[in-house]
Amino acid sequence: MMLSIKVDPEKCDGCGRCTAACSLGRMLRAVAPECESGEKKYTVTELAQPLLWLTGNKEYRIDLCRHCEKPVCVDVCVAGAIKPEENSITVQIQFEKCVGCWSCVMECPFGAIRLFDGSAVKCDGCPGYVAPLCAHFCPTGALQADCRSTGNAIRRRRERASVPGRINNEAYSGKRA
Amino acid sequence: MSGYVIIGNSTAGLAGAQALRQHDPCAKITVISGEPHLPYSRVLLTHLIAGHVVRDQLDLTGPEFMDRLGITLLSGSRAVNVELNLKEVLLDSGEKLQYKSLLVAAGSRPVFPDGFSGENPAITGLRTIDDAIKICRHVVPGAKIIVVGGGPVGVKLACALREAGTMPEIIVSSPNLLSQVSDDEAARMVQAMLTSRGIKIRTGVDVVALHKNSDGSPLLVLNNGLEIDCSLIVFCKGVRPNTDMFSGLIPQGGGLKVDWHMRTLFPDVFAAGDVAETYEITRHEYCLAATWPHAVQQGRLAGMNMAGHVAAYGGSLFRNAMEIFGLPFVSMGIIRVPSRENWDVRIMHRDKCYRKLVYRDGNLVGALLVGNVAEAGLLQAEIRRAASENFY
Repeated sequence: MMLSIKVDPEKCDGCGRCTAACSLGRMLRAVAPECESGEKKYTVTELAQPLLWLTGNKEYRIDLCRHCEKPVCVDVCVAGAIKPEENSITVQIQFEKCVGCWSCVMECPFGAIRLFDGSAVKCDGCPGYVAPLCAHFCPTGALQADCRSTGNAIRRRRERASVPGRINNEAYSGKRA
Repeated sequence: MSGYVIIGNSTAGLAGAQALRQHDPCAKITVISGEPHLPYSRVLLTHLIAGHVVRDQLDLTGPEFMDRLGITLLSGSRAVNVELNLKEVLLDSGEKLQYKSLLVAAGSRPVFPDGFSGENPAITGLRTIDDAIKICRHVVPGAKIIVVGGGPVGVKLACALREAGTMPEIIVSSPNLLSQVSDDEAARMVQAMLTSRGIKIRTGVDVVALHKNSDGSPLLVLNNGLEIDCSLIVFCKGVRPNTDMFSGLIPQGGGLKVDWHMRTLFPDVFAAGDVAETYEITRHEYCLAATWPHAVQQGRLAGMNMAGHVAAYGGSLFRNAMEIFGLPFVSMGIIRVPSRENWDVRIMHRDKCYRKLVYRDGNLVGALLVGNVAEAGLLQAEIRRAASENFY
């Protein structure tokens, strides 16, 4: 589980291609024939809820899954719906197993999971493509995908700390300036 | 040859067994399971009653799992006593098991008030698959099932029973539902949601006795003199840890206090899950935190430490997430502020969204989210960060 998408807000010019690619990609995968047995299809409203959103003037919201090495969402899933993919670098949600209990939403320290249509959704790393579509379509290199199947925990931890989150945690801290 | 012995084959015991096997590939591991079933997810029991899942989806592992890990499973036998000096576990069959180190993950059982017994066919708790099947047998459209207790389990069960077509009624002794995990405002939102879906709620009353009608159907008597006809009474008034095998060594109904490595006061005895009293990071005291995430984490840590791989626990945090007829509800840490001094509360209430953040000395120690819970994970991370920085 080593897929990581790195963000450099300085390079972002706010074109919005990542957002569109993310939403469209997930929509296309959901309606693809092999996924139809899952019976859950994304609708166009999902387009309004992309998992990432960047604008050029350093405003951004990134709820991307870090595909952690020791994923807490997998531990807390009461239905066994979230599993690290075997021989893969991602953590995936099986929609047909998810009961929509919100446990993973409460647990993920990156706010990467939300519920849509009764089951949890998060970045699935665009399976079937060479790279996650958001990074693939980024023209400036603000988003970069790093897919490697091995790595050491310390490097990951350092990276994790440097990836900017959606909301600065200081916003919640009660300490007043 | 003595090996590792695990009492309990549910969430915590299973996580412990997996961790033990991972860190000690050749050790002998024996799991004692009181229930004859494969390990299953207890949290899904309400979903089973509501019909969201089928029985097979509850199983946490396949039947071949224990063999694959090389674990001996003693199914359907209970541990009745632990001889600490001899390092022996006595089973109800009379068999004795030697252990090198012992993990107690025996779980908990529902509390029944005086005068009510789980043996009565009209009374049950909700803790095991057998309880859920007993409840399912009473699920017929329009059946009146009484849920006693307004905690998260009671509320989830009432929702499930309503979805299954019955007419549940919640009886709660405190003035509001969810009094442990919610404030009055959010409880009112939940209460309004439940009432609008046809669930009757009686607050501030308690059950006194159970009589029988002339036709044999149960008749529940409340402390305000009211008598209610019903088909089944489910008690969701909290749980008590299964620590009877240590009777005489710890207070009746108490948990096993554990340190940061899940070690109890007794030599070579570890505890995890509902039986373990762990340090709670916002209340700064040892509590029983009987929820799924704690069980998985504690079980794994206990397994690792038993195998000699030292790892420390990050502390428990009271938290609950659930969905009430499409209304998400997340509660973490301290919600009710004991005094005004040093405490700060920020509330945002807009339409169907309610958010309450509780600060103590400027540090986030509690969060209550109803309606929009997307940021719950970030809030939990902040609570944990603040707690670790201000640890004393």
